[in-house]
Amino acid sequence: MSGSITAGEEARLSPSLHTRRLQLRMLTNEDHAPLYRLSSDPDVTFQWRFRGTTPSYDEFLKQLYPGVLCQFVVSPHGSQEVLGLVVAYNADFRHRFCHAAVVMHPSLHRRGLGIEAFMGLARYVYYGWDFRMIIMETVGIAFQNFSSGEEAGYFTVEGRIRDQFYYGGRYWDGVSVTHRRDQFEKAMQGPVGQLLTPGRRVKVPPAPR
Amino acid sequence: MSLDEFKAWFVTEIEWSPAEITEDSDLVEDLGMDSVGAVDLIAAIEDAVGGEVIMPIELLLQITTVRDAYLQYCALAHLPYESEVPR
Repeated sequence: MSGSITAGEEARLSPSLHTRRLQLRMLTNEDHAPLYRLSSDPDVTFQWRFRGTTPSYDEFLKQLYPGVLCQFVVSPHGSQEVLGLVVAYNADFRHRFCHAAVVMHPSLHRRGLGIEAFMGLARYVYYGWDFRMIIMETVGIAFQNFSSGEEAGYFTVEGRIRDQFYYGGRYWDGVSVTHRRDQFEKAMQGPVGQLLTPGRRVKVPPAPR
Repeated sequence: MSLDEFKAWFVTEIEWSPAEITEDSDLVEDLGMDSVGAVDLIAAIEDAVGGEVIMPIELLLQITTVRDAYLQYCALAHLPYESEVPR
């Protein structure tokens, strides 16, 4: 293939693990303890795989990798701080899809950083595999944090299981969402696409003591 | 851009914004901002200061109200560049 590509196309075609504010990086042994703590955070655990139960550290580690296609710790640029985890798992190579999950520290919810981390994962997955879609299963209480993306066309709600999960004194729907390759391409044209473009960092003065 | 000009800009540029806002409007509680809305807002502020500058996580986490968004817009417009984000 010949011809020049635009900056937007270059960003889309890059397998980079850097997004605008974040880096997706390989898990190391040092990340296991912070991830274990994150998995047991009361604001996270009921929406992550352990659903409020408290597995041993060894059991947590055993379940960290089975079924995983690729997973990355989410950190700020230039730091090893664990802000979250993005995972692509249960890949189906015959039908060309995989599942994905994003977990972020509760202090970062509703800031767009989960979407930024997910877009970094989606770029990596769509770059490396000829998948048609990425499927996410979520709980209604988490879905409301990004539900406006359906109207924007970033994803499609494929189904709901009414009152599937008990959490916080009530039942919440289970929500199945697909993010298809063409929706990824479309998202890259707007503000969400800006999350994957490089830029200039500014020097933030230290907070007053 | 003054705070009043920023509010007018906010209502015009942020698609999910209601027509009436105040500087004390809480973005999540009063205006219904979710994560997708936060992405829209941050991208619009970055565009307003030229598009290349990245809103750092430290500033982003300080935004709760419309006034906070204005203050971080002002900060972003005047902070010195530090480095390029690697590709």
